[in-house]
Amino acid sequence: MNQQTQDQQNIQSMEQAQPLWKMILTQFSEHKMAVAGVVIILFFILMALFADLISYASGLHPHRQNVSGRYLLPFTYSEVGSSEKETAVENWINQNTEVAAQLQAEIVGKNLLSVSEEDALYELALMPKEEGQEILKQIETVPSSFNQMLSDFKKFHPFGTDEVGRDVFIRLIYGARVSIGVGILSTVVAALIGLLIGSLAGFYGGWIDSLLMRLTDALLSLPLIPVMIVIAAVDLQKVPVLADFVGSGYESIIKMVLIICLFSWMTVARLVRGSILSLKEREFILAARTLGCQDHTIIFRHLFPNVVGPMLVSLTLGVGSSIIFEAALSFLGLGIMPPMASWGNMLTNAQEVIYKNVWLTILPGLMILLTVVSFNFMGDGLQSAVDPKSIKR
Amino acid sequence: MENRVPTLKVQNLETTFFLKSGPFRAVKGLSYEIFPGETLGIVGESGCGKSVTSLAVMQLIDNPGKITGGQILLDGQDLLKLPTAQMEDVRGAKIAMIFQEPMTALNPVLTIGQQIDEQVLRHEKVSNDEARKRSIEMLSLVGIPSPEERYGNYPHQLSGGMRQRAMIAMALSCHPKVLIADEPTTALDVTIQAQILELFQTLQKKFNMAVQFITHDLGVISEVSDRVLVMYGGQVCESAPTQELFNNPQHPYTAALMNSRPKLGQRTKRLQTIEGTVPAPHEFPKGCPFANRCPKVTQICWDVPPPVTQVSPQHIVACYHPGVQK
Repeated sequence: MNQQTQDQQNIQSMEQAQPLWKMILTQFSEHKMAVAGVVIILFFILMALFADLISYASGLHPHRQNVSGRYLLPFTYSEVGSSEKETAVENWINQNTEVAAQLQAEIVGKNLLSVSEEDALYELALMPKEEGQEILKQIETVPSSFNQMLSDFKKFHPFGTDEVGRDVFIRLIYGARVSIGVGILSTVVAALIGLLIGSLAGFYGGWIDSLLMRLTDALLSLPLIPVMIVIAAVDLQKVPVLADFVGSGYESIIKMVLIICLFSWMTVARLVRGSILSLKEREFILAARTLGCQDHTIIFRHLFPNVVGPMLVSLTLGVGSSIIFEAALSFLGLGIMPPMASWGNMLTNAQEVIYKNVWLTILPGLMILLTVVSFNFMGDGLQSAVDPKSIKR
Repeated sequence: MENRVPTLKVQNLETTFFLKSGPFRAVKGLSYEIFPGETLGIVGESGCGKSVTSLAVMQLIDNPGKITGGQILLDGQDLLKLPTAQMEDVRGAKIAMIFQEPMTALNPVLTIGQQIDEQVLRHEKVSNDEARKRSIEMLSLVGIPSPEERYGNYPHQLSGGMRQRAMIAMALSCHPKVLIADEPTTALDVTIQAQILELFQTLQKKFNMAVQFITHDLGVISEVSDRVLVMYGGQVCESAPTQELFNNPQHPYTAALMNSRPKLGQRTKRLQTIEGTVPAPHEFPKGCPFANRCPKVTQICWDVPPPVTQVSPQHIVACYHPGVQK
């Protein structure tokens, strides 16, 4: 194809109307760091979504403690203690009585182990993994659940283990679930509150505006950390209405979301109010009025879509700061309660061994840093993408 | 002519802005009427109350402005007595408005089609599909090529002339009886201006609308309007059929406006201007608002507002010394 026809085609494709989202997407993809941010965020989100699957596939469990494998270095194996092994074997035998008897008979019958039938399986579990595998190879059918149990005794820890022998890798993944989840959820809820309050104040003005904005100012002027600490100490189960909504397992998460919302809707409200104040003086709002639009149509159909752009940007940036909030509160021991993992409370425990086991501090910190920086780059990219002045037509 | 019923009849309209420095009457006892299929041009310089008048008809004067007197009759019904909700139904369905700058009068984040649809759906009980059909029909009616494609376009993707056409399509989508056009061609270049004016006349005939055409361009006025109303300081100076006004201006202000136009084929070094400036809101003379700039001013002009006198059946003028200045 020669240059001219190519140019002609380019011209034709340019002449065709491009939908707005397509233009924004094109603009966004030119911001390389923002694209990298999106990739990282998507990766973390996928990781958080499939946490259970990863746990199942790797055989690692976020809450399983192992006293004999504390503070293991990254890329090491851990072995559970012999008493735990014995209980596990006992449980297995009780659950699969017939299969166990068959297996025991076969081991002793083939003279693979010189112990009594009752002790055979215990002996097999307690000996080093390689030797055990040698013996099991000579048996015709090994039940898969027995194999599973044996492999559970020895674990590979890519990121090592923490102070009670829990795997750091899987805890980081489950922590992503909590941290990113809380970050996104609280930002979205805060944005909705801010949108509502900001648009009411901006659109109606007068005393509504004064009232809502003074409320906003008042909340903004509160010293954040002390108030958060006080609120974090509230037991939600004892709050009359809320208690019905709060499941016992998720209480600390819901509390986290509520606290972060309470203190982050103000910036959104101010932003929305500002844009609506300037938007409502624009002629198209008057034009909409002359065409018979009522207040709610004007707010929801004409003002909101115009506010969405700047709001999306502040929302993305807000997720970053929410994650930091969550980490800070959890670090102080007021946020997500153990044993549930969050990047913040993983740091809490790590601080005591910061010199001895550096990776315990670095890994969760790195996750927080990566996520927040990614969200900020994404917000930055969105900002230049939705800014109509920067859209190259 | 006499036995026809006017579509829009404005009587003694008075709007006041309650400013901190005191009330300011932007429109003082304005009366006019527009018949079906007729175009009334309203001319006047900036700040004379043209736009306030059209917003008053729409009842969209924002605080601190208020309509403080008079009647606005649409087919004999006084709009000022309607409750707010009913007035909202009138806007857009019976009276529609077109603005000067289509770029700012269209919502930048909604497509042209969405905006026209909204208009139709707001006032008529039709399905989304029907609304879409109507929108596309309207777009092709106002002369937009390939309307199906333009339906999905955003305002910034259209040219100025196209945008104004889309704006007209939107205003006319519910077939209003009265169309108020507030300087609809000022922001367009001359060739597009001519096309839009032509479009106006075609559509007006088609829908038999009464059009209130506001402009400060006398050339445009002579082109489109049947009658002209000249305003100054919130009052009528002169009103007459277009031909008569241009041939025989009676009010000194009208005459001065005519003289300050550039004339084709004449080489003049400087254009004539009207001496002085429009007074500040609170400094208008007690009598005739034009007194401080009028070449024929006498003592009575300063003290007592001039009565409206009939020059010929449809020609009225508010002046003590009407007639062409020699």
